[in-house]
Amino acid sequence: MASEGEQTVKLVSSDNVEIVTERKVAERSMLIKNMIEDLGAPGEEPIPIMNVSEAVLRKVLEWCTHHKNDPAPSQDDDADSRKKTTDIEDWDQKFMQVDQEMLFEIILAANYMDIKALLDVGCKTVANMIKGKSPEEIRKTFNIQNDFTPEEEDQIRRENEWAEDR
Amino acid sequence: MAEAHILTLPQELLQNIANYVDTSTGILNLRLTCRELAGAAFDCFVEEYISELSCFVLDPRRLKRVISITANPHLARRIRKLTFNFCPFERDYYFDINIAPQENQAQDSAAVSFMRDHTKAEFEKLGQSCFTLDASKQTLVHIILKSLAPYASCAVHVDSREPSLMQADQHIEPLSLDFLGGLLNAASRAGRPIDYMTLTKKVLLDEKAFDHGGSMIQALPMLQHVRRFTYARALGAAVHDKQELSSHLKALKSVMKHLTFLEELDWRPDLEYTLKRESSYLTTPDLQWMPNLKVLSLSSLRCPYGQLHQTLMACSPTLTEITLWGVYLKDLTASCTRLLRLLRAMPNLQKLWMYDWHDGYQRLGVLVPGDTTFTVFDRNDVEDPVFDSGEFIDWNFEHGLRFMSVRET
Repeated sequence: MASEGEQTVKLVSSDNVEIVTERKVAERSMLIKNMIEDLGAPGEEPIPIMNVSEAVLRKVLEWCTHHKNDPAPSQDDDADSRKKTTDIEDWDQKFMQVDQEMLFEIILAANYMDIKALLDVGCKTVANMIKGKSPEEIRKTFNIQNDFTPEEEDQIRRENEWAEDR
Repeated sequence: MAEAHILTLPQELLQNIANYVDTSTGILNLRLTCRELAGAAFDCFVEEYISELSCFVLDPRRLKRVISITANPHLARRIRKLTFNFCPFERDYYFDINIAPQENQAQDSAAVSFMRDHTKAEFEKLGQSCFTLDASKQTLVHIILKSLAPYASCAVHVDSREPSLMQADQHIEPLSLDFLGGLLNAASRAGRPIDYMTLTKKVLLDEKAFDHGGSMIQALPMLQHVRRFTYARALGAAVHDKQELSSHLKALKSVMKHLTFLEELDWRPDLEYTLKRESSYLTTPDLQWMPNLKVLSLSSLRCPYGQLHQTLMACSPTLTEITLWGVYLKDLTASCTRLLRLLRAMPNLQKLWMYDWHDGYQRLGVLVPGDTTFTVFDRNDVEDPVFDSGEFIDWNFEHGLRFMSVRET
């Protein structure tokens, strides 16, 4: 029997494409790790990744392959995401240089597949795109419509002013 | 399947993104983009700007700012702590040195030079000369407290200390802040008690106000709601007028008598009080009025052991946590042994911290958990607990308790 390090697993994307990958790579996803533990026989039974298309799944597995030897996150890492740095390591920055559609697909996939480190990199990337921009520039960057009524917008402006006047 | 777009992300993920957006301007701008992102940014906005509010209570403009916030229920219900402070220089100081209040490390060095470079006259100009909570300011405080009345999760703190590192105490005369009666009256009318109170010698307390028919009598019942009370050191000028000091201390004693539901007491009087014979009763507070006291911190004690013993005995059944620091006792070793026996008998005591004990000649070495001998206590390492729990004390008694002074080591 193959050792755990050499084992492979079959994943099936939402558009029904089968992808074979190392078990260690796939287990960066807590969803897949738990499924393998539940199913008991890795490699035999294909694992459906229902919400993720082939293109996105391959991209996510590319990230998992690069990070397959990273240490497991500690409990403290989960405790408080506030005030964390938005620094992203070079490889991850390049990995995230994709169009916005793919970026948000990766974030959704990381969330669905329970890959916290990838989710964090995705969220930091978006946060960095917001950094230093005015509301109008943020809208333009993400193609967002201003849906506030004038009264709602005024209220938020006032609240921001009270907040800043401390 | 719809094309992925930022607004196709669930609210939980948008909040996750907002967590990484800088709070100085990013979060404020994000709130102004659209409803969905405003919703996602709201928790971060509240956490940074609203959950802990502080305002100089003697400045109507600062009070009006808090009224603007508390008048909005969606913001008011998210306030966890509102502090009425008494430092007029705080904002000007931050403004002047152009440093955001949260950047603590930069403040350290900047505070020192700022204080050194400003004269007392300049401070007086900044701080206005009026340190009284007059009727119009009382009304503003009343409006704030009334808005907060429905929100029990918000703690209201009245704090007459200077913010840390300000070093501005020397520019405020002792016994000059006249606010306690007005504030308690406003709280009484609003039906919103004060939860925490910190007084210092800067606060004017006049014993006549506490006499029968005095101006404080009506407001005193509000003190029953105070859960945490601190009497703190204040640097700066000493009180030279003996009569004023005596009046202050007697009034303070009256205040303490009304803290009948107090749960935490932090007692750190100025040394100038504890050394005066006429105010010796203030060396240790009278805890007999506080039958619910759980957490007690005493510092700068200079008294016979018997007085400390009596003080602790008054609340021994309810105390769960005791801190004793800066303690000067004669016959240190014998006193400490007696004290530890008393503490051991306290049924609910869970945590005990003792540090900086001395008798003029020697400082106390301390017990470290798991050791039956004593190691020298590092004066700078005040975070180290001497004892962690009642069990630990028991354990050490069973294994032969012994004190060793620094000199002996």
